[in-house]
Amino acid sequence: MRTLAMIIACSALLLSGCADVKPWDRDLLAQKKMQLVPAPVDNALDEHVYFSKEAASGGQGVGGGGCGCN
Amino acid sequence: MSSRIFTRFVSVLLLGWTFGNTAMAAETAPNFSLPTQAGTLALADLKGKVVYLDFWASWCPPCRKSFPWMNEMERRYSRQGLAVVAVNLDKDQELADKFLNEVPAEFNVAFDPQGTVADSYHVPGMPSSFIIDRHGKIQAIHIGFREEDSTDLEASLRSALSR
Amino acid sequence: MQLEGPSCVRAALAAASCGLLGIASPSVIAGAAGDATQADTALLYYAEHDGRVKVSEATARLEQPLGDGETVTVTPTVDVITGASPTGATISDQAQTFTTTDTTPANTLPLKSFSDRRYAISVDWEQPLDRLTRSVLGASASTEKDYNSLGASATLMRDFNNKLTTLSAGISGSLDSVEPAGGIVPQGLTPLSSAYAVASAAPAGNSDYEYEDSSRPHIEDALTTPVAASTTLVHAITTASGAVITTGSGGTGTAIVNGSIARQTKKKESVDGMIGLTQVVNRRTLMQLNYSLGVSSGYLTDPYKIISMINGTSGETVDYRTELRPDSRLRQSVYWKAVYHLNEDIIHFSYRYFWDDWGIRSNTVDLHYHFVLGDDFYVEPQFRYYTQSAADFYHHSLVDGAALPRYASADYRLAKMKSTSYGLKLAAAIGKDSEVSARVTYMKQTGNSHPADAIGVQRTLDLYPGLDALIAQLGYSFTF
Repeated sequence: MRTLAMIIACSALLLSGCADVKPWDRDLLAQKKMQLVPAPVDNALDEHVYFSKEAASGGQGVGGGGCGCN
Repeated sequence: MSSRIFTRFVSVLLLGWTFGNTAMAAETAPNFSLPTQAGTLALADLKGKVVYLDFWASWCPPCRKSFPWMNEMERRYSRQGLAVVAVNLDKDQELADKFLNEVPAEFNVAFDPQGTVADSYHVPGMPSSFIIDRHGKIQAIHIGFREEDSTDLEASLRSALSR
Repeated sequence: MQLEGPSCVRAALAAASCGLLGIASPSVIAGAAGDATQADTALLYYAEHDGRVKVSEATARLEQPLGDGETVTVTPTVDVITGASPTGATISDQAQTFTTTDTTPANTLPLKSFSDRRYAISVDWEQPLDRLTRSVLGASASTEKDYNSLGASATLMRDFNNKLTTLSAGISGSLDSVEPAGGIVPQGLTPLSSAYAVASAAPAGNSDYEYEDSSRPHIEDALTTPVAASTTLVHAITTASGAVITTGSGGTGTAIVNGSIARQTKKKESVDGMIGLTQVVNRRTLMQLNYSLGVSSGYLTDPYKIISMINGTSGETVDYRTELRPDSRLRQSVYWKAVYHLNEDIIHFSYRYFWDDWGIRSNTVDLHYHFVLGDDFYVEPQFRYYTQSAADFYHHSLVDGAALPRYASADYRLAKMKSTSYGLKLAAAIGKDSEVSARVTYMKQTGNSHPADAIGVQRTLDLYPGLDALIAQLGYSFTF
């Protein structure tokens, strides 16, 4: 329960502290190197190694960011 | 304190959800005067024509897809009074030039690196296009470019041209 | 899925479905040419110190746009795994004999050799549902000698706030089956001599088990006399050298077909869910926050691992038992990622806190600095720091004669440990849409070599020898 509250608080903080970025100001965010996972293959290989050698695993997410194009 | 943040959080979400692309429909299209590859272009100069006003940037993949279609529209309807104006919003002119070398435009390309014109039109997404009728009123706003929408877009253009 | 031993069992023990959720498929990226297929290929070589695990892996990620934001991504992978991995038995100051042919010299970490090949494939289909919503459906399968896995996933993403905010929710499930080499799933926490007892109907003296590699009983063609199904009897295992190990009463649930015993398979299932929030903070900053919950149930034990039984006074090893883990596991994690654009360079930073009902708590910090060197090159130093607490049932060894715990494992990957990785990636653009890259990473794992509860001679031994690994990767990305 405390964890859930912490997550909601973090999300709220995240959103309330955000600038309003205009759609045409997403040039930097559109770059490949600015994606959450810029090199999916590298990421998958790494996760494979760490998941095989450690007790913890996963957690990463999908989607969002980028150019916001339609 | 946390309930205030929560309320803001929820209202931000709701605002985003309800934001529609109807903000500017049926209003007079704001005038502008921008540099193009061939001198300055002002919206006022195009009075009497149907203007397809498109906002694009080199880093926007759907924009790349829309250029061949816009070329086609320019070819088909310019004699009937269509003017395609594509406003570039790249902050770096070099990137725009590079794009235009790869994807040539047969229509007017204007440059708005500061985004002031985009701001005046409250451009809702990249790319966005505005169909402005012969009287200077915004008839339609379209966000994005998808192949499947091109027939509907063309139909809207023809209806604006027929008036 | 195994960089450790012959099966994904080892790797998958620690977690869920072998990576279905959470591998982002960035479909709308600047530069992705219209309908061209984007191919990202890589070759990886992983090698641990001291003749331990070596893996060669080849993978390709093929992303094909199908028009209007719809994409199909196919990722085939092949792994060749060789070498040896720790069995879980501790180092001893005496030579150790596990079976007639499996021995370890004094002061050496007991290892088990293996060789395996793994084939895996995953397919993801991303579909825009409307301008602001996308769904991704995925399926995956993998196979190796002793492990098969099938998985499926579904994720939904919705944009808000002029696409500055994205909410995502995903669910995935997997069904795995383990069929240990040798064909027998041992009884857990049972002395080695009787752990492999299998139901048979052999009259005394007529049991002919052949050892596949002289270290574990192999049940194929065990009997020549047809028997009635589900007969359970006391039986004897004859080793390759002719010695007879008398076992206790046999295991249960083994089907007997035409005189031979069917190979034993164990199943494992996992269901995982994730919710995430991605937020554009400003023109230069992107953040993501995810919460994941996963449940695994079924056979979560490693059938190859053992635990040493030591004398409570001298600390000498006197026996070995097979390990046993609970048959369910509840995992949770919170993951935060931030990407920040400097003038030209980018910083990628992430932190993950993970906890489960096995008592494991872990922290992971990951930092990449994308250093732009002109239009066509970049260099990316990478750093990762990981810590974990021990699982409740982790023991480096058990005291012989003391009450047995309900579950116990000496798998070093469930112990309290720290892991640090240092990496460097170099990449060069070739033409407009291609990139060639090389990456080297050094990973070092350390744990408690001298735990407080070490007894007698154990105090002079290194009870957590740790791990050093070097990873080299070559990558080539192109479009066609």
